[in-house]
Amino acid sequence: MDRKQFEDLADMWGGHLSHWPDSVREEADAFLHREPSALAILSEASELDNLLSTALLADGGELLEHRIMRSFPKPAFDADWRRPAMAAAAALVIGLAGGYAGGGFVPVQAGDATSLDYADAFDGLTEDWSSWEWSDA
Amino acid sequence: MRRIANGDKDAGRELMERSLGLVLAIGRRMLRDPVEAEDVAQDTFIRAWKAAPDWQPGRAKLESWMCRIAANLCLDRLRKKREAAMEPPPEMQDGAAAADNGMIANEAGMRVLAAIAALPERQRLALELCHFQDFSNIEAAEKLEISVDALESLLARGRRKLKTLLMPQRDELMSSLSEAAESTPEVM
Repeated sequence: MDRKQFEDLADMWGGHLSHWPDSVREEADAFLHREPSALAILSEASELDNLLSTALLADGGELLEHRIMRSFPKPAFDADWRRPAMAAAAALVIGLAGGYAGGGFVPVQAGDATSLDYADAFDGLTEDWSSWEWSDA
Repeated sequence: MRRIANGDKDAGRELMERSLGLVLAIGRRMLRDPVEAEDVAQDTFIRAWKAAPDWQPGRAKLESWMCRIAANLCLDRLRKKREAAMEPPPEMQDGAAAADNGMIANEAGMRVLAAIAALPERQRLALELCHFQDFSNIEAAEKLEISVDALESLLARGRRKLKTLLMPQRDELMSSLSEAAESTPEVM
């Protein structure tokens, strides 16, 4: 490697040999140790690296942060779904069992024909409506 | 990331606060359009949050992974624009629009961003991938669909141009940077 090649590489990859391609790093390191001016080349490239690093961050402001957070995905399904599902199932079983057991303590009302009366109110539905006309309305 | 995968919004906010500055700056440098840069930032976080259940710690540094998502999204946008226009987008002459948005964290950064924005698109992208994102020359060449030699040529021309633009004002820029560092807390 000569000085021109070393300068070209510094122009491309900056002042830190660790950022240079693997294929040239060893040779460049050897050149750096035998050529005193190589350090100045790296130093100048590092100065440019430092200047470029000033454009590394940008400030988006609160509005952008709010906008981004509004996009936070709502969980499609609770990751810990078993707990509420088990609680709901337990409540259902207890309710059904309680209702069934409690039914035995309710006295039957003799002569209670409410359901029949209710059904009677809709007896008209069984009539033959096939001959119905608008004029009948 | 595990908390994010479980729908923890506070964890999502923490990730955003840690990475937004980096991600947004990538969009600004690559796209030179503050509005598009914000869109890319938003898309980056949406992708990262959705990918949270598959995140494997140790494979990559979280911020680096976020930056790569952002850089890839920017490249996709630029590719789509090129395909739509069938010609390269017009290059700004002086990068003034990028600097005028006033969103880079400090005065020195704005001036450096303006210099980067003044580079032709391919040089700017080569610089972004190799300098800011630490892509290898082979990876960056693949991303830009060019040969390694062409990539290195773009990189050298880009950095030489930046050297010409910025090095004469380096003392001023560095002192502006020091003042900003003394007067304001760090962004990250």
